[in-house]
Amino acid sequence: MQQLANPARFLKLAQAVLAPIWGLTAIAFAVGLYMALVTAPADYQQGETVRIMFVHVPAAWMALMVYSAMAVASASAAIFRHPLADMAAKAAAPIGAMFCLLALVTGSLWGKPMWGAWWVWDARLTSMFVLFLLYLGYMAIWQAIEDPHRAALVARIVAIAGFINVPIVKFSVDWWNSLHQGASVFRIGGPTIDQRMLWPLLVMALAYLLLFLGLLLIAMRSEITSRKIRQLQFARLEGR
Amino acid sequence: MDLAAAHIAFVIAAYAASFAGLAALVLFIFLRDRKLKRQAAVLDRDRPSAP
Repeated sequence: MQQLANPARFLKLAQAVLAPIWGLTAIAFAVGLYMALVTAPADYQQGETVRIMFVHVPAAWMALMVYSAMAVASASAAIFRHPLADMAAKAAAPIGAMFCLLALVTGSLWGKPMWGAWWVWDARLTSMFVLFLLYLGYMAIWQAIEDPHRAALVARIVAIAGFINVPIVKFSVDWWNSLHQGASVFRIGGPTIDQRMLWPLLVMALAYLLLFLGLLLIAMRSEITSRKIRQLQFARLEGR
Repeated sequence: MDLAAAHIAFVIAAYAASFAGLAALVLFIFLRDRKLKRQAAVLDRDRPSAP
């Protein structure tokens, strides 16, 4: 990881891997959507509404994974002083926030026909909403504090402290009585979901993950350019 | 997929919302990257050369 601490080396590597990532993302989305909309069967209870799961669950997984990655990046920025770690966390935040918003919106679109309500203040839904607010708060810090070093310090604290919400989201369905169904994929004893639904779900999750990686690399490139602009503007003010 | 099934509008709305959200995100990130690159190139070009 320390080898990637050099922004020039990181940019070179990002440029080399972006094209294969975009190619794999397109393939994964094409295959995943075909499986989700054509080959996966309708559920015996939920009917066709079960197909919402193939966009809802990957978005929710990614929202949790991206926040966890931000917390790890923030911790490594604090401990190892890795120069790209803060940038990675900052670049990942809007992507994670969008995944979180999509999980909430698609969950609501599933809830109305299945539960009869767009929204309930259930433990899983509420903790997911708190995660969305944490994303917004994290992004607001970078916008509100002009000095990037001070902003990074405060943002790290929010990212690391907010990580406590990730296991709460995951285990909320076990700890409290919840309308939301329990884990059916990542659970001790293996998945309980039918293979014909599990594979489309995993392929769609892979597509979301690849999309995240591609967007993260571009967003990090933007952050590096943004810092370069700041340096050039300072140099201009100083007449260099 | 049975397009005449009950609640199919909710399924279509969920896929449309996901597509729109992800497309907006991709567009935002690409346009910001392009704008910053252009801004950096202008500043770089206008930088006075060292004596």
